[in-house]
Amino acid sequence: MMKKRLFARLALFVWIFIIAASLLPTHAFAAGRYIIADDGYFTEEELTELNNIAQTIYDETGIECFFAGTDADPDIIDYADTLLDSSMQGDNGMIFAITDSSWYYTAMGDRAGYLSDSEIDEIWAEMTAENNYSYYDSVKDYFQYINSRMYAALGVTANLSSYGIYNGNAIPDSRLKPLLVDEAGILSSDEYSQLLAKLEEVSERQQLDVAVVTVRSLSGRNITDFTDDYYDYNGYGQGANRSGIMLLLAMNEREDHLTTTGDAMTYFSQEGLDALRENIEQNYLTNNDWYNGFYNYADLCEKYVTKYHETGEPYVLKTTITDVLPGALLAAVGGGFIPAFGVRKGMKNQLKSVKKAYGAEKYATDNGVQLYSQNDVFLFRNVTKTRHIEESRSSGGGGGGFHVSSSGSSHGGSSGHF
Amino acid sequence: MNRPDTNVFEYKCPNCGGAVAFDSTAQKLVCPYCDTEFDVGALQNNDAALANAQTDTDSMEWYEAEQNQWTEDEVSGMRSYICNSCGGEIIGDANTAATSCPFCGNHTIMMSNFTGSLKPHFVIPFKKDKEFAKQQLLKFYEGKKLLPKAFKDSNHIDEIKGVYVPFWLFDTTVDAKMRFKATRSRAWTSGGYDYVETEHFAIDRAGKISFEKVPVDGSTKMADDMMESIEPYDFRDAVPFSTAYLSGFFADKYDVDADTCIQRANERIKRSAEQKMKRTVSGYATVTTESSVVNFENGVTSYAFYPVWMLGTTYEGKRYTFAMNAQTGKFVGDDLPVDKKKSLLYLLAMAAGFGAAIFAAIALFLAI
Repeated sequence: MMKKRLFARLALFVWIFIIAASLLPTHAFAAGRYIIADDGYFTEEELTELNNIAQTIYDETGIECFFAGTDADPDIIDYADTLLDSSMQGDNGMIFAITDSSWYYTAMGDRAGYLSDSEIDEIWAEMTAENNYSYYDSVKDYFQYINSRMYAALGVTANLSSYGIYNGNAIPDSRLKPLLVDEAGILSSDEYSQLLAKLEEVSERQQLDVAVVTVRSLSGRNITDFTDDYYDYNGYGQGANRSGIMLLLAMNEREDHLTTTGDAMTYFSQEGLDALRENIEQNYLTNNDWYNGFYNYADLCEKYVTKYHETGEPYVLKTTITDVLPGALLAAVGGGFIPAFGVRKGMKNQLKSVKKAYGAEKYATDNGVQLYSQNDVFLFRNVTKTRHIEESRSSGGGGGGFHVSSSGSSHGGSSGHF
Repeated sequence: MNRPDTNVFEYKCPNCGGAVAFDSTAQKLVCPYCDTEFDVGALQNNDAALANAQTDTDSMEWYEAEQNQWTEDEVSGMRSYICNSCGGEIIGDANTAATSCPFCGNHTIMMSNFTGSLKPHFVIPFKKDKEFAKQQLLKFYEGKKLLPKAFKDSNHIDEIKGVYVPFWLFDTTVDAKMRFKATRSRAWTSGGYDYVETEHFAIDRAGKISFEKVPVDGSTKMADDMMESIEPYDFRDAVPFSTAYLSGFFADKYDVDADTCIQRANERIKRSAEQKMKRTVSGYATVTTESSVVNFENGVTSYAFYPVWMLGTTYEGKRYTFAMNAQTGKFVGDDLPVDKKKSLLYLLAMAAGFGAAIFAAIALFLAI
């Protein structure tokens, strides 16, 4: 009698266990759920950690990221596709599969965090290098890239700092660099410190970051994106809107760009920004007068902000007569004499009344010209062909406007050259 | 061995002057130097016309109207007055004495008998009087801002004389043959290129124009340019000459004969003829004269007295002569002096004014 009851309890326990096991979320048991690898790729600890990383990514972003490594020699595309299909629970996921000699990477769903070929190539190169990383390190890099990419696409990232993965693309809370960055080395140390002091002073007074950056070269990058990213990813800007204005000079290309963020986009209209840029370019930058150029830039920014607060309208810098005073005076004096001489000549001519006659017009009879022969003969034609030239651009050149940078924040801008 | 009978004929390219060759594919004459194509007919005409033009030169024939002679009575009633200072000679009737020379203002005049010279065929009588001449002088000073005030104020007329000036008059019909080059252009833009097409034409015109009574001053003493400046004289007021018209006036003696004066007449007539011919070429953007041949036909010369009021005044040691056409009232004079101070002041004032305007314009331009 006692044996039967014990057996029944045991059976019940086993059934409950089986049902519970099937009901429990599978990942609790799937130590290797995201990492499907043959023996030898990873140690136990590595396997666990990598899976946890992938799990965290899924938890925080909803994207399932798989890695598969096999020594067998399957058709890698089939292999990876099938694996992804069967493993994915949701709609969005990707897989990076490798064998001895090849790799395959694919994704399903909205492809957030999808990596570029060059990034995968880099990881593959690490894996196949002579004194290589371990697979563990390479796969960690894989996850790190994904995390960065996701931030750019979704604005969300998984916190993997406990695993030693730091996301270099997060927007820092405070400014990481000074208001004046002279990578190109065009300022002396005295000039640098004076300008830095000036920029800090203005920025503090106006509650707006007024920054200047010089770089040697853009290395092929677009200056608008470059400047916006520099501003965003180095944490420039004051207040919740990260307000500020930045002037960036690329010395090799001799291009410059002004970017505005936050409140600065209200203080500086497109027209005002263009006028500011052109003023600095024409009066200072084209003459390589860096110190005065940046100094005046700071003053002008302050003027723009002050004027906005005074009038409620964005200010636009205009050349006034005082700016061109020497030139205007010269033109007035010199220019004044030319017509004066002309008029005086006319007055002198009044005193002359005698002149030899040219012809005998008045003595021709009323009959006029009696033509008895006339011939108009066509000889030949000439056609000239020249390339049509559009109006050429002077220094400055437009370019600018509203722009959303890679970080997702919006900026106003104005580009030119010097 | 028979030599082929070669008849090499070269046409000149009207564009660059090179020798044009016949292009059998194009069936046109093409210039190998400038690549321009020509129609055979056009070039033939052009060449023929050029050949003709080279052999033509101006020609002129003049007939003189029968010379008029003074009668005995007329001669006795007239006197000759010669100036000791400049040698100028004027004639007047016996009752009108000359006290000063109308040419140089000198008062040493010698009177002598009149020795006959040519008698004029025609005369235009004095229509405007001495008062009118004086008024015209005052008007002449008006509005001339750089004339020294002293000049106007010391308005002392040394003398004023009514003088008949001897003129040779020329009637002729000219036959003018002219060649021109003309162009017409049009421009357009297409496919990123600007095109300009210019068509070139050879134009010729031949026609006759008649001129009547072209005057040339027959006295060396009367400045030719001054006499030409008071023209024109309207011959319709001319009457056959009679000494009656002389009373109260003087006449300048002619001392340049018709043959010499003809040169000047021809020069003026030819210029006017060419101008008028050129005006008959229309519808082109540019017209340039290539050649011109003018023949003067049926030229007739006559001799006339035309009325002039001569006035003289002195200022700062210099003598200024004025002449007024006594038929029309047209008034001219020697170049008047410039008030240097006024001239400078005007210059500076105007420069300041224009300068201010330029400055204001710049300020306005920047403010907008």
